[in-house]
Amino acid sequence: MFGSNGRLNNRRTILNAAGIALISAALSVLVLLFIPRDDPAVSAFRQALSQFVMPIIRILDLPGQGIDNAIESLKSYQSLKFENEQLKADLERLRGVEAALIRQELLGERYRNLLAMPLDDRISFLGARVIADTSSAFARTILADAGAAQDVMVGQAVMGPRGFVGRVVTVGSETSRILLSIDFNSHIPVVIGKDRVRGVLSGGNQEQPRIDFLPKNARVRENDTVLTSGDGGQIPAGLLVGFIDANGLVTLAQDPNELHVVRIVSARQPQPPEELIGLPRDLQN
Amino acid sequence: MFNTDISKIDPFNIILACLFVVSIGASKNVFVAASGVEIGFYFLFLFFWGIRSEGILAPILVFLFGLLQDALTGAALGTWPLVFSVFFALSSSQVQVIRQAATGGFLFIFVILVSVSYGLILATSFMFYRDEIDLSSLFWSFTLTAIIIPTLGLFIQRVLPLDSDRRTAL
Repeated sequence: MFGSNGRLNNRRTILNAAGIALISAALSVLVLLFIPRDDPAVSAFRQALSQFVMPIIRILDLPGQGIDNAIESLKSYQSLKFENEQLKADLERLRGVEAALIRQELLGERYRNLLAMPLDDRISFLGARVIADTSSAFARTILADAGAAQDVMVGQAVMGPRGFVGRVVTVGSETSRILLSIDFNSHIPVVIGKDRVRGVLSGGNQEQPRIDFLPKNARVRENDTVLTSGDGGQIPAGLLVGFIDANGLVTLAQDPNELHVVRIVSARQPQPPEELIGLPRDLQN
Repeated sequence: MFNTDISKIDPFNIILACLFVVSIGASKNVFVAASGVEIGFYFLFLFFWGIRSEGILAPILVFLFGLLQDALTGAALGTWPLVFSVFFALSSSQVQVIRQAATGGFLFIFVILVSVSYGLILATSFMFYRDEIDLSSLFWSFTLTAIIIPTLGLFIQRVLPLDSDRRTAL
């Protein structure tokens, strides 16, 4: 196939390719050693690169979306009869609940009027589509197609249709990266159950996050509701996170595997009292 | 010193490069769930690309695509360029062995290279991430990649048998 010179040249060019690849590998080690992972410039570079390839990923997503939709249609068709029966039973049950709910609503309205308490209008939602699931062994993140152009900001809470899923960690002009609550680096202040026990929801890259920093002798029971506590001011209080299971772990209300659309929660920060506004920021708290 | 003649760029290599980068993007949509487990089809295209390519352009592109993979997966910058570059260097330096191997041997070499790559990811993670990496998803990603792709290869070989001459042409 080759003459002796040709074979020699071929071997040399192959060695060139392998040699350059090894130089690249050495360069990669230097990058690993000297560029810190959580540097803001690195985050900006990641976001810019992700945004650059988004058009490709969006196109690649089309067949996947089609398959998803087809599977969903098939599933919904199969479970239609079962769901219908269940809905009828639920309807009967809910008729009784409805009357109790109306009574509670009237009672609540009376109490609100008594206290003259304003409704919480600080929270607003922005819908966004999940355009890529960038989860790996290293991090659990997703990309949504809303960014700085839609006033998305770092730190904002993100909800799925059924509950809290995570928070925004980087924002590009048209996309934002969302760190899921199951990620190692996710730590969300929460309150648990009727006793409103405070703790921190910590991800472990597993399906179920755990609760850290529970007070001593705290009573956390199976099926207790886990809600965001609002501590720290970035994530609004009262967002449903999930439920405590028999092992003390949290079963998330929103399964991160089933995310197609998300709602980014925008909460206006409460202003400090007027007499404190002129003071340095540290003294306002 | 290096082969930098653009006229020698092989269209098949361009296709492999495109498939490689597309498989990086596609793995973020079709194959992966929030579980973090993915099938590394990109290793397959990188394997063939390594076998075929000559000159300096391909390893540089491999490095850049590795950075892209880092950006998408949230890994520390340098992790995937290191893995891809080592994988590429091994496959391109063992061309003669790979070309002369039978189908079983050919796929066995692929599995070894995939094992080395995941071993490298593991070593990198222990050195740079401490306990922050999900070992179970890494293990399942490796297992699925090392089983499914060679199985597909054997299946394709049964359906469309490639004789050694045609495989050498790869």
